[in-house]
Amino acid sequence: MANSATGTAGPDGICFGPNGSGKVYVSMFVHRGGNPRKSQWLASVTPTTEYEVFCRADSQDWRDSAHNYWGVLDAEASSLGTRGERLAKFLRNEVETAAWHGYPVSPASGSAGDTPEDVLVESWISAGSVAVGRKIQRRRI
Amino acid sequence: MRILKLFIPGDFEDARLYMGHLLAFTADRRLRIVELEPLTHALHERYPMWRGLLTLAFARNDWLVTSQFHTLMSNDAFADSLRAGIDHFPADGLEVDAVPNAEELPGFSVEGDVLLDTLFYASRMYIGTEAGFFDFDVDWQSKQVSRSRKRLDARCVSASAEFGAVNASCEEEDLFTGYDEFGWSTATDGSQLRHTANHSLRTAWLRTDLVNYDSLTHSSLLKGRTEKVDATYGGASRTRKLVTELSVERESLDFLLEELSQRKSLESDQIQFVGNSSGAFFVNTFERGFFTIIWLRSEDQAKERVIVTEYPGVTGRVVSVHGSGAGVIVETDFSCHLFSEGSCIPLLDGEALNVRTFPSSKRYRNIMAVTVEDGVYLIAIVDL
Repeated sequence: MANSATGTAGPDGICFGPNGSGKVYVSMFVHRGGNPRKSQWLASVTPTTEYEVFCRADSQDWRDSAHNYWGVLDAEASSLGTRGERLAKFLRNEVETAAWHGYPVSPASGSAGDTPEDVLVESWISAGSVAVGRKIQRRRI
Repeated sequence: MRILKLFIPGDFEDARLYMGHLLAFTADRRLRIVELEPLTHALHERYPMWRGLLTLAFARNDWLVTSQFHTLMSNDAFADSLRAGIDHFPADGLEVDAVPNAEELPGFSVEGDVLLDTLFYASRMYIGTEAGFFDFDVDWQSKQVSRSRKRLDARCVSASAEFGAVNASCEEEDLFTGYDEFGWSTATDGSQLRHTANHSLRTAWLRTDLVNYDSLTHSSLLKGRTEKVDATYGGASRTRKLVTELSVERESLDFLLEELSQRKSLESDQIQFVGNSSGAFFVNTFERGFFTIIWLRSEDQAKERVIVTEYPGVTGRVVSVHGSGAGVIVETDFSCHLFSEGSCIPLLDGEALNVRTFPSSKRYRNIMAVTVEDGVYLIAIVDL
């Protein structure tokens, strides 16, 4: 999983990594109180935990066809966001070496961009990575 | 009001009660049929202290509201005996370790890997998967599929049906409706679905109109044009009201939420969930409580009224709201509650994959089927 659990403060957030696959990650301040219009990580989900969720998504290759990564905190998909969001989306990086970042999302919002593809969720279900995969596919999370 | 639970373990994705059967969709795409009365009779043998009660609660809940039953309940010895049985019923429910006479529906096969929604209407079974929207005509007595069709290619996440019409919500691929599905008006079987609206996550009838939700909180109202027809179905002739067309009446029902926000001094971003039954809207907020809105409509919009009622007791994010004979069932991320006559009664402490109620059913108005990760709960609401 994460090979650097301690972050360093940067202008946009707390920086982690590089991880085992060479990716650098930033826990963005805008998703931690800096911009209330954006989805917010729960305080109990520390920047280090956020980075671990990303690293797991990376190591498991939980990537959609648009190359976004998707993550969960645990098999129960425990809450990640202040508004009950239970999934995390890590936006595709145009530049290979640029830092990654992510935020909590809820497929129930009705926004296609907040929902992982069926095939990815099927892989979670098959591997037992998420117990509530069908709820995700049904937009009920 | 007492809550009795029966747990049937298994790897299920959805379950419904229909015409004396528990119909459970398995993870490997089969449809398992459990006859409810043989099931409760078998349980009576194992649990003689609840002999009769299990059938009353789970198979023939409708008997509890008959005049014959009320006559029996006027006998104190009978009433005390029945109530004692209920008092001793385990709070966590009974687990069924062997299901007698369970069968599978032969010939049932549906395209797709992801079962998204199921719906039973007038003996027809509708199914939404990631590969489309399908229907199956089933003879539930002989347990045979007589016809199956693919109605749409789009990923269908949700369906609703009433007044002879079925609605298929296909997210960004829009909302489609089949009218006069059973040929009650035109002697056709309405095989062609028509485009009804853009973007749909789910729909719910508001009397003969349809509310289309394109997000958790935003909806529009589609006016239903109706006609009455004399239709024969299942050997019986009766007058039916059909919805023959849906057209946009209100592009947005946000004004209801604005009214709520004004009256309760809520910020609009506090709204977490909106749903509706035939007569009311249900609104949950992130931190300010749960509300019902009754919208008294009028031809003259200036004369319309809105009644807002606040209900305590809902904590957490609401996932769905369902009508039942006993009251409103509210599903949150990690629990289910019944709202009835001002009380909030816990039904299930845990996460549901699916919650099904049957408010239009004769037998199952006071029973719900809740699919969880390792089985199905039948939850009976008994008011003696």
